[in-house]
Amino acid sequence: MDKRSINLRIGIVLISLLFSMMIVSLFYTPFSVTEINREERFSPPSVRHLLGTDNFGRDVLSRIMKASQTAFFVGLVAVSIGTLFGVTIGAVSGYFGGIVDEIIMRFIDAMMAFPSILLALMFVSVFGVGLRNTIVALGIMSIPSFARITRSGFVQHKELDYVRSAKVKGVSNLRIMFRHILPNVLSPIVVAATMGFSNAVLAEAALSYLGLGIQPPNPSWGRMLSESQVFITVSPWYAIAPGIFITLLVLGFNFLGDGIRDMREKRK
Amino acid sequence: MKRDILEIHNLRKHYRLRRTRLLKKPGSIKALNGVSLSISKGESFGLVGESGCGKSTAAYTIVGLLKPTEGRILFKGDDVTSMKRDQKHEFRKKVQLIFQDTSGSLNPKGTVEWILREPLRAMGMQKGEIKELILESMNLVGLDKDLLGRFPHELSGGQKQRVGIMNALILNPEVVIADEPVSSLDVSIQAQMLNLMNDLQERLSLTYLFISHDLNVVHYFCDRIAVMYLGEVVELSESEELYRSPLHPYTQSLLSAIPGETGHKLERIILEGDAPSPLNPPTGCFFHPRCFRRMAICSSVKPKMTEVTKEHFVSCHLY
Amino acid sequence: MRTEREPLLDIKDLKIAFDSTEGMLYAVKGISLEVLEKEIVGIVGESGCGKTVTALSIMRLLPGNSHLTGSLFFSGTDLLSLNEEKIRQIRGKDISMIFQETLSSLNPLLKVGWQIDENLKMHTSLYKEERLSRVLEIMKAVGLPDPERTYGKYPHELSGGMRQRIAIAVAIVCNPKLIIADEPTTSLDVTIQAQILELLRKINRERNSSMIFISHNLGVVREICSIVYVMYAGHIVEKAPVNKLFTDPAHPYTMGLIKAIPKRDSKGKELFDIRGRVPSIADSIPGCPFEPRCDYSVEKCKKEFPGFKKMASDHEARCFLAGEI
Repeated sequence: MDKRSINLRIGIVLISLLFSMMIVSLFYTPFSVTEINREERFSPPSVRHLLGTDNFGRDVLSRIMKASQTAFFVGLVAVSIGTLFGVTIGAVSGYFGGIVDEIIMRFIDAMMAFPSILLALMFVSVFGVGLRNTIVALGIMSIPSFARITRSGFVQHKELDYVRSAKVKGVSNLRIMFRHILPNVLSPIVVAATMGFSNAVLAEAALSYLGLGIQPPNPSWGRMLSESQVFITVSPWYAIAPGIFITLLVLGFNFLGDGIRDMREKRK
Repeated sequence: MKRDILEIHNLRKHYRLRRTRLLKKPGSIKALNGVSLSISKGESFGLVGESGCGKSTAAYTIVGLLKPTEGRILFKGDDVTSMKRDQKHEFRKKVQLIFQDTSGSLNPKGTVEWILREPLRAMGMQKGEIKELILESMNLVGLDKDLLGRFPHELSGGQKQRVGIMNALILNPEVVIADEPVSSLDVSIQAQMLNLMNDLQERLSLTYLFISHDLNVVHYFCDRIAVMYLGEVVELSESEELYRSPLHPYTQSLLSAIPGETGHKLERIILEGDAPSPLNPPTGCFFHPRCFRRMAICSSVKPKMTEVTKEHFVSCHLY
Repeated sequence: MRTEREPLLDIKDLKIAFDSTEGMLYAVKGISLEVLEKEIVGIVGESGCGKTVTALSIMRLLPGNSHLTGSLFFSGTDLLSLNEEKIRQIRGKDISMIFQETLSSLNPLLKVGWQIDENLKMHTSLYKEERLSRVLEIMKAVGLPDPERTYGKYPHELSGGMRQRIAIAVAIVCNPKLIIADEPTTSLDVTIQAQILELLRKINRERNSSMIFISHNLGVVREICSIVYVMYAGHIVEKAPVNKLFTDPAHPYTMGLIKAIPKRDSKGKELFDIRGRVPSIADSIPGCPFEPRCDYSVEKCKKEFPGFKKMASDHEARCFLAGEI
């Protein structure tokens, strides 16, 4: 019987492909990303231009490749912010309980009451657009779910005997939280992180589509989507390509997350 | 006269419940309702009772996991409850706990070595010393040092139990509180465990507070036994004496309920009804609603602890 | 003395194996046992011996990756040959089961009264009012105070003892001929345990139900059973009338178990320690599975697994030296 679930395999394959593409793009793209080539405007997919060209004659594939760097980067940093702060907040809240827990959780609840995209929008409208602010906004947006998941794990585990045992032996609270309990609560956090990644990618695409996220000259699939909308009748491939890649990346991480969750279930 | 190593005076632990109605005072669960014991150095003292009687609460309070609502705990004559942080820290090392379900008391994500290292590291010990001490302990409980790299789920029930004991002994305590240490074990492993605990007691001059609901085991292992019911001690005596002539009706019914005992001194006593909840304890003597020898006074006045025969104390209006 | 009546349950050479990544693992390696009418038969053994798996197999409740061979005759029908539909008609009506943990064996989301009622609904064609009165009657019979009020409660609102009574009510409401009880009192307090054991004895007397009582607690088994089977590593190693088992055990394992329990006169002495460990389910041993831990083993024991040696008409053990130790 196959130990690795099918979800996990699909996820890993998808992500590896896209990741390799991203790595390659750091050193090489078939064509320059910015060079304008009037004669080749709107050319359909061909051997020379695998995904055709855009309204400036730029190779779509190269632009897609370059933009994947942004997608991964944004996703990674945003999830890292969300995990770092979310887990810490959740751990403190769950472990200490009491009034600290109440206050923190009310904050988190308030944040979760807003659709996260709205929060991100609010943030960039106050602090301005651009790569850095987009990342921060998305990071903040993902804090609540990490906090919730971590907190629930901590609430469950802090009453277990191994924690009591450590306390009785004089191990410090800080150490108990992060060296004793956290490794046991890691699993759902990892699954959340994969989901968080795909959410971040989607959110960035949405923000950039609206023009509020990544700004030129930084490439972004989301912005490519919005730019290409006008030309959809003339060069549909220009509009479809970024959409497909966003979908693939998001699907990849979703499958990965499901796969990790399946493996956890199986182990039980 | 042997100096008492651990004394508990009038220990109480109340849990306040949330207010359910605005004008009604919130109820409280009296998990411990005035427990007093004194344990001598080197003895094995048994604490027996059914679920809800407060024996685990007592253990956790003594060891510092719970804060007592009232009462004092004295270790070698010093009042623990009013100690400063450093002193308390020292005290914690001297009184340790073996947990009931050892599978739960071992961190599933830690190797045996890591689990044992943590408390020593917290104490500030050096790496070399730590390694030595751990190897010594493994030897002491009869475990092969190859097991140091294993995770709890890779160990058998008996092995886990030994690690649990090591965990309690690693800081070199003087008093070990064992909370149902053999209850979830198979008969043959139970025997191994009890033999080991006895052996360790001799070698390390330990004092045990042995908590269990299994009277046979407690009778075998302990020198003196206290019987608890709903947060109070109802009878206290030397273990053979308790077995031979239990005075409190609850103790009598406990003994008679032990399954499979032939040649019962006592007729099988089947108590009516369920154990009452600590939320709404009965008035007067807590046991009176189920007591087969209750009198009128039992429902209104709480009995006091009196010494009926030498070193045999009961809290009952019959005496 | 048991007379040679036709047994209610007749298990012959039952083997239970599970598919796994390491191949077929045999949890039960060929056991035979009988339950006569009105008998309470005990199956005793430590964890991993296969007793629970055996119980579940009678009710055909084992997971899909299990394989059963042998025969399981109940009132003349081989349960192993029946299809799912027929088995479902038997479950709850002719054979029923009581489990150890009532918090998981009772549905936490349904009122306890409904759960008893469900059994009646499935197996009888009584109307609602008739069912209700039967349920209340049964609840009274198992000693629940105030059945009308208790009917509408949820499992978590009741104490452990009361929950077990409900579980028993569910099991007996259709008057089964055989009740399988798997560690029913293990998680209960000693005084409540005494009550439940008394209840089970009453049910056996008054309702003509036979019982299979499974436990690792020898004392409880001694309390309630008339015949006991001792299991070790997937085999039955001894069968005896209950008092004989305790006064004259024949198999070294049984002897070890009995010696290991603290008794009145054990005080001050070391408890008997059966050295070594129970073999894992994957170990395949040519001779007697208990041999590595046995104080009496001889050369023969390593190579050959003994068959049953009879000490009396009701007492037999799988040991070459049975009766001689």
